[in-house]
Formats: sequence, C-alpha cells, structure tokens
Amino acid sequence: MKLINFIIEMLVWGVMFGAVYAHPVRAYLDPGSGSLIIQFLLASIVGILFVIRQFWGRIISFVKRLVGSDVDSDYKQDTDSNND
Amino acid sequence: MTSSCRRIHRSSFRDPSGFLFETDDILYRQVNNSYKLHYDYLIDSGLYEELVALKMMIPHKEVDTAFAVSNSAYKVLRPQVVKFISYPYEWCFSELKHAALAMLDIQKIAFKYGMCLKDASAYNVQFVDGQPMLIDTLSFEIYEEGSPWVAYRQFCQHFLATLALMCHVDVRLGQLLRVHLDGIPLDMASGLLPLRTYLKFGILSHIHLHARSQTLFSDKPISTANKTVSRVALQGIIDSLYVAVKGLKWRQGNTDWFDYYSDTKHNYSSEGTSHKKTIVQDYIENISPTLVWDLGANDGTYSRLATSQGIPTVAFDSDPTAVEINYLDSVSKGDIHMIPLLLDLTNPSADIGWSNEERLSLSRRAPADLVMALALVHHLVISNNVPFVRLAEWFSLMGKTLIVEFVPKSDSQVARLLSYRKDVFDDYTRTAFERAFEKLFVIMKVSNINDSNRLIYLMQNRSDLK
Repeated sequence: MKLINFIIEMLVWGVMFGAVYAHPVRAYLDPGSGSLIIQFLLASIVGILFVIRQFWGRIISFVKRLVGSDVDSDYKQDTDSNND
Repeated sequence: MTSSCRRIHRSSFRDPSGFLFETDDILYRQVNNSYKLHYDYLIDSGLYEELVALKMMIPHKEVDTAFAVSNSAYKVLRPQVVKFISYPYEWCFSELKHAALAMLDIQKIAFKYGMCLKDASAYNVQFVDGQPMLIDTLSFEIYEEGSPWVAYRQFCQHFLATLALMCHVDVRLGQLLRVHLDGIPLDMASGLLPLRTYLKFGILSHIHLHARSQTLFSDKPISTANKTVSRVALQGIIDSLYVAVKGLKWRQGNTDWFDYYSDTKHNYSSEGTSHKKTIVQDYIENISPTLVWDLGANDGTYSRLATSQGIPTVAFDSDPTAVEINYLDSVSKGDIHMIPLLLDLTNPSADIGWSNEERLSLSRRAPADLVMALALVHHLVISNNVPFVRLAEWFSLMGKTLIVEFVPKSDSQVARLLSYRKDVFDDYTRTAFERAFEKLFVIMKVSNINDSNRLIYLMQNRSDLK
C-alpha cells in the first residue's frame, strides 16, 4: 500500500511540477537558453518515465530477492556486459 | 611563505569557487570564500565521505590556509596526486562511457544529499586505480528546489554526443574532442548521426531536439521566471541520460593492429615471445619504475609485465580497437594499474585550449620513469620516415630510462614494410641505431630475442645521469 501511495504521489508531482513555476538560474557555466528550454519541455515526460522505471525496478528487486539473486550496480553490470 | 613561489595552474581559471596551484611541486587547491557555503555542505553532509569511500572522488587533506595564494581563500586542500593526467580525446569508447556513467552516478548520489553537480566536464574525470574518479572537489553546489541542471548542455556535449557518434557513426569521431574542447556541438552531432537514431528516445531528446532547441533559442532572450524543473523531473533527466549512455555499445571493427599478437602478423615463435617477455620483465625489475609509458602497446600484452608488478602503466596505442580491448580486458581482470590510451605517436597530443596551456601535450606530461617502445621503431623509421637521431631525441624527452626493440632489415616485418616502397633506408642498421641513441642514452643492456634477429635494449637517459 505504501508503495502504491508513493507511486501515485510521484506521478502527480512529476506531472504537476514538471514544467512550471518560478526559478532563476545562476551558474558560472552558461547553461544555454536552448538547453534550459529543452529541460523544461522534457521535464514532465522524463519525470513520469523515471517514476515508472523506479516502480519497475522495485518489482524486479523484489522478484530478485524472492529468487535470491544478487542485485548489482549498473556500473558493474555495464562493465561485465560491455562486449555484447 | 610568499606568494611568489606559488604557481597557479594554467588550466584552473574558469570557476570562481577556487583554483589549483603548485608549490615545490606539490599540488594544492584553494577554496575561495565565495564557495564556503557549498564546501561546508559537501563535507558536513557526508557526501564527500561517501564519494571518497566509493572511490568516485579524489580524496584531499585540508592544510593550513597560510599556503593560500590570495586572501580570498577559505580553505586550502592538498588533493591526492593523480599519477598521469589523461584527456577525453585520449580515451577509448568504454573509458568515455564509464566516465559518463560515473559522472551520472555521482550526480545521483549528490542529489540524495541535497547537492547537484554544477559542471559535468569530462576533463574533471581521471582514471585512478582503474576507476573513473571526479577530481574537481568544487564541482558541487547546494541544490535549489526547482532549478534545472546547469551542467546538462555540457554533459550532452562532452559525453552523450561524443559516445553516440562513436557508436552510431565511427568510433574515431571521439577525436573531434581535440578540436571541440567544450564537447561536440549538438547541431553537428545531430547532423552527423544517422536517421535511425531519431527512434531512440535518449538520442532524440538529448541530442536531436536539444540541438533544435539550441538553434531556435540561441539568439533569443528567454525568461526562466515562470519555469522550473521539479525534483522528480530532474531525477528523470539524469535517469534518462543514464539509460541513453548505457544503451550505447562499442562495436568491434576490423583494424590492422588488434590481433597483432594472435596470428602470423608478428614474427615470433612461442619461444621467442616467451623469451621477449622474460627480457622485458627482467629490465623492468632492474629499473623498478614508479610510472611506465608503453608506446605502441597494442592490447597491453607487454604493459601487463609492469602492471603485474603493481606499477602504474600508461599503454598508448593509435588503434581504437586495441585500446578498447586492452581497457575491457584490464577492467575484467581487475588490473587497476593499467591506463590504456589512444595516441598517434606520429602526431601526439599537443598543448591546446586557452593560450595553449589548458590541456598539456604529451611531452609536457613527461618524463616517465620508464618508456617502453617494443616492435615500434621500425614503424616510425620506415613507415613514417623518422630518422634515428630524431627518434632518440624524442624518446629522451619522454623518459628517464628506455626499453627499446630494434628490428633489423632481415626481419620479415621490416621486409613487409619495405615491400610496397623504395628502400631509401641505407642507414637502417644496428650500428646506426646504436650510434644515434648513444648520443643521448647510455646502453645498459642488450639482449637478443631467441628465434629472431631482434634486439632489446635497456638504456638510461644521459640527462638523468647528471
């Protein structure tokens, strides 16, 4: 139940706040106006995708724990499977 | 201590948070007062401790502020020394990919602690003990709710665009980073990438649409007053970049060099190979170097004779496939002392960047304790017409000691090199080779490889004897 509440909350926040409210950008690097705009545009989509992936990841971790397999880091997995 | 004996690092000028400087050949980092809030948060939050424990960030010690260069100093740090500084245009595909993933992993961890990377320069990553590590302690800032990722453009240009081009077009396009020091312009990357990459969400959004957005808004003032990126959305952007980078795979192509040791392309019997290894091993033990450069290392077969003794070894080769194989092999074997790098010895890395001082040439990063040049001299002399004298001069700048192999004209490899061209190399003899090298080196040992006419020399740089 806690997991479902978390997902719903994340989805709502991702959609609601993905695109609009006030924030000034101060950085010593020029972030680039086009780069900022694309981030604002992508925000909702990738936010939702992120929540889905988190949800999916939890299911996979849960199943892996059930069958007793190791959950390794992404970097290690990538290092191991780089030749494919 | 007066400020006159401090030398500010010539590449350390962009970030007002601080800079690197050297005193008596010891590297320090000054943290300015303007960065106090962020630095204290980095340390007090536990982020620094976690990243150092995970070997994702270079550790440092705080030293007395009396070492500071200016009175704007808040702290002075003494970072752990990196044995050899390499640059992204010298990395193979998987080195750049692992550096990109490390950068995103660091961003993910920083976010948990309420911080964010304020820059994502590939030059802030170095390979230390076989791991890509962040070397810039001042790369973090306290996350402000709603702010976009200011380093997004830089990450896409330095990492994603380069990797996408190397993966989908040609692995040699990583060399574009030599020209475009702030990463490959996204409009250029978008134009070069094949149409099928529009079907990949990560590349479509972070390169093609990103490039389009840059073009559309490049000369238009925009107001960010009503716009923000939520915490979840920001995590989504990082996650999306992570998925995009992970999806890019290196594809092996056919090259001249990567199977050099595997078949008839070389000229040793198994006994000869074994004997050559014994000679090189013996020479390395004789020198006990702290840093080895193996020039023309191919897949690192002979570099491993040094790394197996725990000696950090930079294995240079001009073939991206050979370097890639060496890197992947080193990672899978846990060889933490190997640093495989891409380098064309006929056109080695030059001094580039602002006032030609930001990124150092190979010779400015010299000398190594020991330089190895095995089965290399005949390629440089015959294929690239470099006279022995010039070769000896260059080697003398690169290292304090030298293990060099001389391959005579009677060898089938030299015969192969000469088979397509006129032999204008009357001076290509053992005598001429030794005469040229003896001007700058003392020949300490010479060994003949069994079952061949090849010779391996151990030489000491004369300038190092003084």
